[in-house]
Amino acid sequence: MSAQFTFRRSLRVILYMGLADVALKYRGAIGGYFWSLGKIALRFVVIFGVFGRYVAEAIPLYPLYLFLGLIVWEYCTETISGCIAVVFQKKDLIQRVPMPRILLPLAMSWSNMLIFFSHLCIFCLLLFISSAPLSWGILYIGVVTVHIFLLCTGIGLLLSAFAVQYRDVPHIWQVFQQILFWLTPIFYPYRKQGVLFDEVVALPHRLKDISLEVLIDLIIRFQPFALLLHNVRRSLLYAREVGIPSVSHTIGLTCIVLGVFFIGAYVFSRRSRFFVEQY
Amino acid sequence: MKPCVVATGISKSFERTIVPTVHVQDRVLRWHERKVYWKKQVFSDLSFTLHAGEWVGISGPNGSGKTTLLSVLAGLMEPDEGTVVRHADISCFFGLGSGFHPERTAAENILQHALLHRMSTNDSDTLIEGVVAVAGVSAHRDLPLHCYSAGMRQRLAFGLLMHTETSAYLLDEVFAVGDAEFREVSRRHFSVLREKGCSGILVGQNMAELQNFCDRMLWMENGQLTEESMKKRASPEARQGFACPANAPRRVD
Repeated sequence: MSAQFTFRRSLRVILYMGLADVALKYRGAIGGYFWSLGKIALRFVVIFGVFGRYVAEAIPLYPLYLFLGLIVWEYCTETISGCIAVVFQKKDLIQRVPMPRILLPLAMSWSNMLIFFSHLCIFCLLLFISSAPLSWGILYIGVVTVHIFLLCTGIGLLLSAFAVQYRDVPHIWQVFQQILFWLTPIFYPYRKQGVLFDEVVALPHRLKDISLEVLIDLIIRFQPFALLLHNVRRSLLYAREVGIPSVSHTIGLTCIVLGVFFIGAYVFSRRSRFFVEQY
Repeated sequence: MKPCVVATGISKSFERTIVPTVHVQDRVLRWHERKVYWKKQVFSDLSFTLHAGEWVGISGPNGSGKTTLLSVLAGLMEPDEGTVVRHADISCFFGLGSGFHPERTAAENILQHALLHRMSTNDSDTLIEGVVAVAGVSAHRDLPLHCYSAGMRQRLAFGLLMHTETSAYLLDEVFAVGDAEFREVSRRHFSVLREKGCSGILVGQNMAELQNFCDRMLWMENGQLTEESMKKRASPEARQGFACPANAPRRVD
Protein backbone atom coordinates (compact mmCIF):
# COMPACT_ATOMS: atom_id res chain seq x y z
CA MET A 1 0.00 0.00 0.00
CA SER A 2 2.77 2.37 0.89
CA ALA A 3 5.17 1.26 -1.84
CA GLN A 4 4.18 4.20 -4.02
CA PHE A 5 4.89 6.65 -1.22
CA THR A 6 8.54 7.53 -1.41
CA PHE A 7 10.38 8.76 1.67
CA ARG A 8 10.50 12.25 0.17
CA ARG A 9 6.77 12.36 -0.48
CA SER A 10 6.02 11.01 3.00
CA LEU A 11 8.17 13.74 4.49
CA ARG A 12 6.34 16.37 2.43
CA VAL A 13 2.97 15.02 3.59
CA ILE A 14 4.09 15.14 7.24
CA LEU A 15 5.49 18.66 6.94
CA TYR A 16 2.50 20.01 5.02
CA MET A 17 -0.17 18.38 7.18
CA GLY A 18 1.57 19.45 10.39
CA LEU A 19 1.83 23.06 9.24
CA ALA A 20 -1.74 23.10 7.93
CA ASP A 21 -3.05 21.69 11.23
CA VAL A 22 -1.26 24.41 13.23
CA ALA A 23 -2.62 27.10 10.91
CA LEU A 24 -6.13 25.70 11.15
CA LYS A 25 -6.04 25.28 14.92
CA TYR A 26 -5.88 28.98 15.67
CA ARG A 27 -7.50 30.38 12.53
CA GLY A 28 -10.28 32.83 13.23
CA ALA A 29 -9.76 32.72 17.01
CA ILE A 30 -9.43 36.04 18.80
CA GLY A 31 -5.91 35.96 20.15
CA GLY A 32 -4.98 33.29 17.60
CA TYR A 33 -1.77 31.53 18.50
CA PHE A 34 -1.71 32.99 22.03
CA TRP A 35 -4.51 30.60 22.98
CA SER A 36 -1.85 27.90 22.96
CA LEU A 37 -0.22 29.73 25.85
CA GLY A 38 -3.46 30.23 27.78
CA LYS A 39 -3.57 26.76 29.35
CA ILE A 40 0.11 26.91 30.30
CA ALA A 41 -0.17 30.44 31.69
CA LEU A 42 -3.18 29.57 33.86
CA ARG A 43 -1.54 26.44 35.19
CA PHE A 44 1.61 28.43 35.86
CA VAL A 45 -0.29 31.05 37.88
CA VAL A 46 -2.11 28.43 39.98
CA ILE A 47 0.93 26.24 40.69
CA PHE A 48 3.19 29.21 41.35
CA GLY A 49 0.59 30.72 43.68
CA VAL A 50 -0.08 27.50 45.60
CA PHE A 51 3.24 25.64 45.66
CA GLY A 52 5.70 28.43 44.88
CA ARG A 53 6.07 29.50 48.51
CA TYR A 54 7.16 25.97 49.54
CA VAL A 55 9.63 25.12 46.80
CA ALA A 56 10.75 28.42 45.25
CA GLU A 57 13.59 28.89 47.73
CA ALA A 58 15.00 25.42 47.09
CA ILE A 59 15.05 25.86 43.31
CA PRO A 60 17.08 28.59 41.63
CA LEU A 61 15.20 30.55 38.94
CA TYR A 62 11.96 28.85 40.02
CA PRO A 63 9.56 30.75 37.70
CA LEU A 64 11.63 29.72 34.68
CA TYR A 65 12.02 26.19 36.08
CA LEU A 66 8.25 25.89 36.38
CA PHE A 67 7.47 27.47 33.00
CA LEU A 68 9.94 25.16 31.24
CA GLY A 69 8.45 22.15 32.99
CA LEU A 70 4.97 23.14 31.91
CA ILE A 71 5.79 23.68 28.22
CA VAL A 72 7.60 20.34 27.98
CA TRP A 73 4.72 18.60 29.77
CA GLU A 74 2.22 20.31 27.47
CA TYR A 75 4.07 19.05 24.39
CA CYS A 76 4.28 15.49 25.74
CA THR A 77 0.61 15.19 26.67
CA GLU A 78 -0.73 17.01 23.62
CA THR A 79 1.34 14.80 21.33
CA ILE A 80 0.30 11.52 22.92
CA SER A 81 -3.37 12.54 23.16
CA GLY A 82 -3.21 13.94 19.61
CA CYS A 83 -1.79 10.69 18.21
CA ILE A 84 -4.65 8.78 19.83
CA ALA A 85 -7.26 11.26 18.58
CA VAL A 86 -5.93 11.53 15.03
CA VAL A 87 -6.96 7.99 14.10
CA PHE A 88 -10.55 9.03 14.79
CA GLN A 89 -10.34 12.59 13.42
CA LYS A 90 -8.89 11.43 10.10
CA LYS A 91 -11.02 8.33 9.87
CA ASP A 92 -12.22 9.42 6.45
CA LEU A 93 -8.69 9.43 5.04
CA ILE A 94 -7.82 6.11 6.67
CA GLN A 95 -10.93 4.47 5.23
CA ARG A 96 -10.69 5.83 1.73
CA VAL A 97 -7.18 6.90 0.75
CA PRO A 98 -4.46 4.27 0.38
CA MET A 99 -1.52 5.85 2.15
CA PRO A 100 0.89 4.91 4.94
CA ARG A 101 -1.35 5.54 7.95
CA ILE A 102 1.62 6.21 10.17
CA LEU A 103 1.96 9.59 8.46
CA LEU A 104 -1.11 10.88 10.32
CA PRO A 105 0.25 10.55 13.89
CA LEU A 106 3.67 11.68 12.70
CA ALA A 107 2.12 14.85 11.22
CA MET A 108 0.25 15.38 14.48
CA SER A 109 3.48 15.07 16.45
CA TRP A 110 5.20 17.49 14.07
CA SER A 111 2.44 20.10 14.43
CA ASN A 112 2.77 19.89 18.22
CA MET A 113 6.52 20.20 17.86
CA LEU A 114 6.04 23.46 15.96
CA ILE A 115 3.98 24.84 18.84
CA PHE A 116 6.60 23.56 21.30
CA PHE A 117 9.31 25.41 19.35
CA SER A 118 7.32 28.62 19.58
CA HIS A 119 6.92 28.09 23.35
CA LEU A 120 10.66 27.52 23.63
CA CYS A 121 11.27 30.83 21.84
CA ILE A 122 9.09 32.59 24.40
CA PHE A 123 11.01 30.81 27.17
CA CYS A 124 14.33 31.97 25.68
CA LEU A 125 12.99 35.51 25.62
CA LEU A 126 12.11 35.25 29.31
CA LEU A 127 15.53 33.74 29.98
CA PHE A 128 17.15 36.72 28.28
CA ILE A 129 14.99 39.24 30.14
CA SER A 130 15.69 37.62 33.52
CA SER A 131 19.46 37.86 32.88
CA ALA A 132 19.92 34.21 33.77
CA PRO A 133 23.44 32.83 33.15
CA LEU A 134 23.78 31.28 29.69
CA SER A 135 26.34 28.82 28.34
CA TRP A 136 27.05 26.75 25.25
CA GLY A 137 25.15 23.94 26.96
CA ILE A 138 22.01 25.54 25.60
CA LEU A 139 22.79 23.84 22.27
CA TYR A 140 22.15 20.46 23.90
CA ILE A 141 18.44 21.30 23.74
CA GLY A 142 18.49 20.01 20.14
CA VAL A 143 19.38 16.51 21.37
CA VAL A 144 16.77 16.56 24.15
CA THR A 145 14.11 17.81 21.73
CA VAL A 146 14.77 14.82 19.46
CA HIS A 147 14.57 12.54 22.51
CA ILE A 148 11.25 14.04 23.58
CA PHE A 149 9.86 13.81 20.02
CA LEU A 150 10.82 10.14 19.69
CA LEU A 151 9.53 9.14 23.12
CA CYS A 152 6.17 10.91 22.88
CA THR A 153 5.56 9.88 19.28
CA GLY A 154 6.50 6.29 20.11
CA ILE A 155 4.07 6.15 23.04
CA GLY A 156 1.42 7.93 20.96
CA LEU A 157 1.81 5.41 18.13
CA LEU A 158 1.60 2.50 20.55
CA LEU A 159 -1.58 3.76 22.19
CA SER A 160 -3.26 4.85 18.96
CA ALA A 161 -2.58 1.39 17.50
CA PHE A 162 -4.94 -0.04 20.14
CA ALA A 163 -7.34 2.92 20.38
CA VAL A 164 -9.47 1.92 17.39
CA GLN A 165 -10.16 -1.58 18.73
CA TYR A 166 -10.42 -0.57 22.40
CA ARG A 167 -12.44 2.61 22.64
CA ASP A 168 -11.53 3.40 26.25
CA VAL A 169 -7.81 3.77 25.54
CA PRO A 170 -8.14 7.60 25.39
CA HIS A 171 -9.92 7.63 28.79
CA ILE A 172 -7.35 5.30 30.35
CA TRP A 173 -4.59 7.54 29.01
CA GLN A 174 -6.29 10.64 30.50
CA VAL A 175 -6.31 8.99 33.95
CA PHE A 176 -2.74 7.80 33.57
CA GLN A 177 -1.72 11.27 32.41
CA GLN A 178 -3.07 12.81 35.63
CA ILE A 179 -1.06 10.34 37.73
CA LEU A 180 2.02 10.97 35.60
CA PHE A 181 1.67 14.73 36.09
CA TRP A 182 2.17 14.33 39.84
CA LEU A 183 4.95 11.79 39.33
CA THR A 184 6.94 14.16 37.11
CA PRO A 185 9.04 16.89 38.74
CA ILE A 186 7.33 19.75 36.97
CA PHE A 187 6.89 22.06 39.93
CA TYR A 188 8.98 20.30 42.58
CA PRO A 189 12.72 19.59 42.49
CA TYR A 190 14.22 16.54 40.81
CA ARG A 191 16.33 14.61 43.29
CA LYS A 192 19.37 13.24 41.58
CA GLN A 193 21.81 11.41 43.81
CA GLY A 194 24.66 10.46 41.50
CA VAL A 195 25.56 9.22 38.07
CA LEU A 196 22.46 7.73 36.46
CA PHE A 197 24.21 4.56 35.31
CA ASP A 198 25.50 3.86 38.85
CA GLU A 199 22.02 4.40 40.22
CA VAL A 200 20.52 1.99 37.71
CA VAL A 201 23.13 -0.62 38.64
CA ALA A 202 22.27 -0.16 42.31
CA LEU A 203 18.54 -0.53 41.68
CA PRO A 204 18.26 -4.28 42.52
CA HIS A 205 19.70 -3.62 46.00
CA ARG A 206 17.19 -0.85 46.61
CA LEU A 207 14.30 -3.04 45.48
CA LYS A 208 15.07 -5.60 48.21
CA ASP A 209 13.44 -3.60 50.98
CA ILE A 210 10.91 -1.73 48.92
CA SER A 211 8.24 0.47 50.49
CA LEU A 212 5.60 2.67 48.84
CA GLU A 213 7.66 5.77 49.52
CA VAL A 214 10.78 4.26 47.95
CA LEU A 215 8.79 3.01 44.98
CA ILE A 216 7.33 6.45 44.28
CA ASP A 217 10.77 7.99 44.66
CA LEU A 218 12.22 5.50 42.17
CA ILE A 219 9.42 6.16 39.67
CA ILE A 220 9.93 9.91 39.92
CA ARG A 221 13.64 9.59 39.39
CA PHE A 222 13.72 6.98 36.65
CA GLN A 223 10.59 7.49 34.60
CA PRO A 224 11.62 8.80 31.16
CA PHE A 225 9.60 12.02 31.26
CA ALA A 226 11.37 13.04 34.48
CA LEU A 227 14.78 12.23 33.00
CA LEU A 228 14.09 14.17 29.83
CA LEU A 229 12.65 17.13 31.71
CA HIS A 230 15.72 17.16 33.93
CA ASN A 231 17.92 17.16 30.83
CA VAL A 232 15.98 20.06 29.31
CA ARG A 233 16.55 22.08 32.47
CA ARG A 234 20.22 21.10 32.62
CA SER A 235 20.61 22.38 29.08
CA LEU A 236 18.66 25.62 29.28
CA LEU A 237 18.82 26.67 32.93
CA TYR A 238 21.64 25.00 34.80
CA ALA A 239 24.25 24.21 32.15
CA ARG A 240 26.87 26.17 34.06
CA GLU A 241 26.17 24.75 37.51
CA VAL A 242 25.22 21.15 36.75
CA GLY A 243 26.57 20.73 33.21
CA ILE A 244 24.97 18.95 30.29
CA PRO A 245 24.46 15.15 30.38
CA SER A 246 27.47 12.96 29.62
CA VAL A 247 27.98 11.14 26.33
CA SER A 248 27.18 7.73 27.86
CA HIS A 249 23.99 9.15 29.41
CA THR A 250 22.99 10.61 26.03
CA ILE A 251 23.72 7.38 24.15
CA GLY A 252 21.80 5.31 26.72
CA LEU A 253 18.78 7.56 26.60
CA THR A 254 18.91 7.72 22.79
CA CYS A 255 18.79 3.91 22.64
CA ILE A 256 15.77 3.85 24.98
CA VAL A 257 13.75 6.49 23.11
CA LEU A 258 14.64 4.98 19.74
CA GLY A 259 13.50 1.61 21.07
CA VAL A 260 10.17 3.07 22.21
CA PHE A 261 9.71 4.85 18.87
CA PHE A 262 10.45 1.80 16.74
CA ILE A 263 8.28 -0.48 18.87
CA GLY A 264 5.46 2.06 18.57
CA ALA A 265 5.96 2.40 14.81
CA TYR A 266 6.10 -1.37 14.33
CA VAL A 267 2.95 -2.06 16.38
CA PHE A 268 1.10 0.81 14.68
CA SER A 269 2.06 -0.40 11.20
CA ARG A 270 0.89 -3.93 12.02
CA ARG A 271 -2.38 -2.98 13.65
CA SER A 272 -3.32 -0.08 11.38
CA ARG A 273 -3.84 -2.56 8.53
CA PHE A 274 -7.07 -3.57 10.27
CA PHE A 275 -8.32 -0.08 11.21
CA VAL A 276 -10.87 0.08 8.38
CA GLU A 277 -12.75 -2.98 9.63
CA GLN A 278 -12.38 -2.05 13.30
CA TYR A 279 -14.11 1.33 13.01
CA MET B 1 1.86 -6.01 -20.93
CA LYS B 2 1.41 -6.90 -17.26
CA PRO B 3 -2.11 -6.66 -15.83
CA CYS B 4 -2.70 -3.73 -13.46
CA VAL B 5 -4.21 -5.73 -10.61
CA VAL B 6 -4.29 -9.47 -10.08
CA ALA B 7 -6.30 -10.84 -7.16
CA THR B 8 -5.99 -14.57 -6.62
CA GLY B 9 -8.29 -16.57 -4.35
CA ILE B 10 -9.09 -13.67 -2.06
CA SER B 11 -11.51 -14.05 0.83
CA LYS B 12 -12.80 -11.45 3.23
CA SER B 13 -14.97 -11.78 6.29
CA PHE B 14 -15.97 -9.48 9.12
CA GLU B 15 -16.12 -10.82 12.64
CA ARG B 16 -17.66 -9.19 15.70
CA THR B 17 -18.22 -10.46 19.19
CA ILE B 18 -21.75 -10.26 20.58
CA VAL B 19 -20.42 -9.68 24.12
CA PRO B 20 -18.97 -6.16 23.97
CA THR B 21 -15.20 -6.18 23.81
CA VAL B 22 -14.56 -2.73 22.48
CA HIS B 23 -13.26 -1.60 25.86
CA VAL B 24 -10.19 -2.74 27.71
CA GLN B 25 -12.39 -2.95 30.81
CA ASP B 26 -14.70 -5.41 29.02
CA ARG B 27 -11.74 -7.58 28.19
CA VAL B 28 -10.53 -7.47 31.78
CA LEU B 29 -13.84 -7.81 33.62
CA ARG B 30 -15.63 -10.17 31.23
CA TRP B 31 -12.70 -12.36 30.28
CA HIS B 32 -14.46 -15.45 31.63
CA GLU B 33 -17.62 -14.96 29.54
CA ARG B 34 -17.86 -17.21 26.55
CA LYS B 35 -17.39 -15.16 23.45
CA VAL B 36 -20.18 -15.42 20.89
CA TYR B 37 -19.09 -14.29 17.48
CA TRP B 38 -21.10 -12.90 14.62
CA LYS B 39 -19.39 -13.52 11.34
CA LYS B 40 -20.17 -12.30 7.86
CA GLN B 41 -18.37 -13.85 4.94
CA VAL B 42 -18.32 -11.06 2.36
CA PHE B 43 -16.69 -13.11 -0.39
CA SER B 44 -14.48 -16.13 -0.60
CA ASP B 45 -11.98 -17.60 -3.07
CA LEU B 46 -12.51 -14.78 -5.51
CA SER B 47 -10.11 -14.22 -8.38
CA PHE B 48 -10.04 -11.16 -10.54
CA THR B 49 -7.72 -9.50 -13.04
CA LEU B 50 -7.77 -5.94 -14.27
CA HIS B 51 -5.87 -5.89 -17.54
CA ALA B 52 -3.96 -2.89 -18.80
CA GLY B 53 -6.24 -0.56 -20.71
CA GLU B 54 -9.36 -2.37 -19.50
CA TRP B 55 -12.35 -0.79 -17.76
CA VAL B 56 -14.45 -3.03 -15.56
CA GLY B 57 -17.81 -2.12 -14.06
CA ILE B 58 -19.06 -3.81 -10.90
CA SER B 59 -22.62 -3.56 -9.77
CA GLY B 60 -24.80 -5.42 -7.31
CA PRO B 61 -27.26 -4.97 -4.47
CA ASN B 62 -26.41 -2.96 -1.38
CA GLY B 63 -24.30 -4.89 1.10
CA SER B 64 -23.05 -7.36 -1.48
CA GLY B 65 -19.42 -6.44 -0.86
CA LYS B 66 -18.56 -4.23 -3.84
CA THR B 67 -16.89 -1.54 -1.78
CA THR B 68 -15.14 -4.15 0.38
CA LEU B 69 -13.76 -5.77 -2.76
CA LEU B 70 -12.56 -2.41 -4.02
CA SER B 71 -10.98 -1.66 -0.63
CA VAL B 72 -9.11 -4.96 -0.70
CA LEU B 73 -7.93 -4.35 -4.26
CA ALA B 74 -6.79 -0.85 -3.27
CA GLY B 75 -4.92 -2.14 -0.22
CA LEU B 76 -7.13 -0.37 2.29
CA MET B 77 -8.10 -3.75 3.77
CA GLU B 78 -6.15 -6.96 4.08
CA PRO B 79 -7.71 -10.09 2.58
CA ASP B 80 -8.14 -13.02 4.99
CA GLU B 81 -6.77 -15.33 2.34
CA GLY B 82 -5.34 -14.95 -1.13
CA THR B 83 -3.11 -12.33 -2.66
CA VAL B 84 -3.51 -9.03 -4.43
CA VAL B 85 -0.66 -7.98 -6.71
CA ARG B 86 -0.64 -4.44 -8.07
CA HIS B 87 1.60 -3.85 -11.07
CA ALA B 88 0.36 -0.35 -11.83
CA ASP B 89 0.23 2.97 -10.09
CA ILE B 90 -3.30 3.05 -8.67
CA SER B 91 -5.42 5.99 -7.61
CA CYS B 92 -8.55 5.49 -5.53
CA PHE B 93 -11.60 7.68 -5.20
CA PHE B 94 -14.07 6.07 -2.83
CA GLY B 95 -16.90 8.51 -2.44
CA LEU B 96 -15.91 11.87 -3.79
CA GLY B 97 -14.69 14.50 -1.38
CA SER B 98 -13.72 12.12 1.39
CA GLY B 99 -11.03 13.61 3.57
CA PHE B 100 -11.96 17.17 2.70
CA HIS B 101 -11.80 19.42 5.73
CA PRO B 102 -14.80 21.78 5.92
CA GLU B 103 -12.79 24.54 7.64
CA ARG B 104 -10.11 24.60 4.97
CA THR B 105 -10.29 26.46 1.68
CA ALA B 106 -10.51 24.72 -1.68
CA ALA B 107 -6.85 25.51 -2.35
CA GLU B 108 -5.72 23.94 0.94
CA ASN B 109 -7.85 20.84 0.43
CA ILE B 110 -6.61 20.45 -3.14
CA LEU B 111 -3.00 20.67 -2.03
CA GLN B 112 -3.44 18.09 0.73
CA HIS B 113 -5.27 15.70 -1.56
CA ALA B 114 -2.70 16.18 -4.29
CA LEU B 115 0.00 15.10 -1.84
CA LEU B 116 -1.99 12.12 -0.60
CA HIS B 117 -2.88 11.02 -4.13
CA ARG B 118 0.77 11.30 -5.17
CA MET B 119 0.09 14.07 -7.67
CA SER B 120 2.83 16.47 -8.64
CA THR B 121 2.65 19.63 -6.56
CA ASN B 122 5.66 21.36 -8.07
CA ASP B 123 3.40 23.88 -9.75
CA SER B 124 0.70 24.01 -7.11
CA ASP B 125 -0.85 27.27 -8.34
CA THR B 126 -1.52 25.83 -11.79
CA LEU B 127 -2.94 22.68 -10.23
CA ILE B 128 -5.26 24.62 -7.92
CA GLU B 129 -6.41 26.92 -10.73
CA GLY B 130 -7.01 23.94 -13.00
CA VAL B 131 -9.06 21.99 -10.45
CA VAL B 132 -11.07 25.03 -9.39
CA ALA B 133 -11.79 25.95 -13.02
CA VAL B 134 -12.92 22.44 -13.97
CA ALA B 135 -15.16 22.27 -10.89
CA GLY B 136 -16.59 25.69 -11.70
CA VAL B 137 -15.95 27.06 -8.23
CA SER B 138 -13.45 29.80 -9.05
CA ALA B 139 -15.53 32.39 -7.23
CA HIS B 140 -15.35 30.29 -4.04
CA ARG B 141 -11.62 29.53 -4.31
CA ASP B 142 -10.61 31.14 -1.01
CA LEU B 143 -13.70 30.24 0.99
CA PRO B 144 -13.74 27.38 3.48
CA LEU B 145 -15.48 24.29 2.19
CA HIS B 146 -18.41 24.59 4.56
CA CYS B 147 -19.51 27.53 2.39
CA TYR B 148 -19.90 25.13 -0.57
CA SER B 149 -23.00 23.20 -1.50
CA ALA B 150 -22.75 19.39 -1.51
CA GLY B 151 -22.71 19.43 -5.31
CA MET B 152 -19.91 21.98 -5.46
CA ARG B 153 -17.84 19.90 -3.06
CA GLN B 154 -18.34 16.81 -5.21
CA ARG B 155 -17.42 18.72 -8.34
CA LEU B 156 -14.26 19.93 -6.65
CA ALA B 157 -13.37 16.34 -5.77
CA PHE B 158 -14.09 15.27 -9.31
CA GLY B 159 -11.88 18.08 -10.56
CA LEU B 160 -9.09 16.57 -8.46
CA LEU B 161 -9.77 13.15 -9.93
CA MET B 162 -9.50 14.66 -13.41
CA HIS B 163 -6.07 16.07 -12.59
CA THR B 164 -4.75 12.80 -11.20
CA GLU B 165 -2.26 11.22 -13.56
CA THR B 166 -2.07 7.50 -12.97
CA SER B 167 -2.39 4.30 -14.94
CA ALA B 168 -5.27 2.69 -13.02
CA TYR B 169 -8.29 4.04 -11.19
CA LEU B 170 -10.53 2.45 -8.59
CA LEU B 171 -13.71 4.49 -8.45
CA ASP B 172 -16.71 4.00 -6.19
CA GLU B 173 -19.96 5.79 -6.98
CA VAL B 174 -18.46 8.69 -8.89
CA PHE B 175 -21.03 8.96 -11.66
CA ALA B 176 -23.80 10.72 -9.82
CA VAL B 177 -21.81 13.93 -9.49
CA GLY B 178 -23.08 17.35 -10.47
CA ASP B 179 -25.73 18.44 -12.92
CA ALA B 180 -26.26 17.15 -16.46
CA GLU B 181 -23.66 19.52 -17.89
CA PHE B 182 -21.00 18.44 -15.41
CA ARG B 183 -21.83 14.77 -15.97
CA GLU B 184 -21.16 15.30 -19.64
CA VAL B 185 -17.77 16.78 -18.76
CA SER B 186 -17.00 13.75 -16.59
CA ARG B 187 -18.07 11.35 -19.36
CA ARG B 188 -15.73 13.08 -21.78
CA HIS B 189 -12.95 12.84 -19.22
CA PHE B 190 -13.40 9.09 -18.88
CA SER B 191 -13.29 8.77 -22.65
CA VAL B 192 -10.00 10.63 -22.66
CA LEU B 193 -8.65 8.30 -19.99
CA ARG B 194 -9.60 5.32 -22.10
CA GLU B 195 -7.89 6.83 -25.12
CA LYS B 196 -4.75 7.28 -23.06
CA GLY B 197 -4.78 3.57 -22.25
CA CYS B 198 -5.59 3.92 -18.56
CA SER B 199 -7.46 1.17 -16.73
CA GLY B 200 -10.14 1.32 -14.11
CA ILE B 201 -12.74 -0.37 -11.99
CA LEU B 202 -16.01 1.48 -11.64
CA VAL B 203 -18.42 0.50 -8.91
CA GLY B 204 -21.93 1.87 -8.97
CA GLN B 205 -25.64 1.17 -9.00
CA ASN B 206 -26.42 2.76 -12.33
CA MET B 207 -25.80 -0.21 -14.62
CA ALA B 208 -26.68 1.58 -17.86
CA GLU B 209 -24.16 4.32 -17.06
CA LEU B 210 -21.47 1.78 -16.20
CA GLN B 211 -22.10 -0.21 -19.36
CA ASN B 212 -21.50 2.86 -21.46
CA PHE B 213 -17.94 3.05 -20.20
CA CYS B 214 -16.81 -0.44 -19.39
CA ASP B 215 -15.36 -3.26 -21.44
CA ARG B 216 -16.56 -5.81 -18.94
CA MET B 217 -19.45 -5.76 -16.50
CA LEU B 218 -19.56 -7.85 -13.35
CA TRP B 219 -22.39 -8.52 -10.95
CA MET B 220 -21.66 -9.10 -7.31
CA GLU B 221 -24.09 -10.95 -5.12
CA ASN B 222 -23.75 -13.43 -2.25
CA GLY B 223 -20.00 -13.19 -2.40
CA GLN B 224 -19.88 -14.22 -6.04
CA LEU B 225 -18.61 -12.13 -8.92
CA THR B 226 -20.18 -13.17 -12.21
CA GLU B 227 -20.62 -11.83 -15.73
CA GLU B 228 -23.55 -14.04 -16.71
CA SER B 229 -25.77 -12.78 -13.92
CA MET B 230 -25.13 -9.26 -15.05
CA LYS B 231 -26.44 -9.97 -18.53
CA LYS B 232 -29.70 -11.26 -17.08
CA ARG B 233 -30.18 -8.14 -15.03
CA ALA B 234 -29.32 -5.60 -17.68
CA SER B 235 -32.02 -3.98 -19.74
CA PRO B 236 -32.51 -5.24 -23.35
CA GLU B 237 -30.90 -2.09 -24.75
CA ALA B 238 -27.99 -2.44 -22.38
CA ARG B 239 -27.62 -6.14 -23.17
CA GLN B 240 -27.18 -5.36 -26.85
CA GLY B 241 -24.39 -2.94 -26.06
CA PHE B 242 -22.85 -5.07 -23.33
CA ALA B 243 -19.35 -4.50 -24.63
CA CYS B 244 -17.84 -1.06 -24.76
CA PRO B 245 -19.40 1.54 -27.07
CA ALA B 246 -18.51 1.32 -30.73
CA ASN B 247 -16.56 4.55 -30.74
CA ALA B 248 -14.59 3.70 -27.61
CA PRO B 249 -11.03 2.44 -28.00
CA ARG B 250 -10.44 -1.20 -27.17
CA ARG B 251 -8.19 -2.75 -24.59
CA VAL B 252 -4.54 -2.67 -25.54
CA ASP B 253 -2.89 -5.69 -23.91
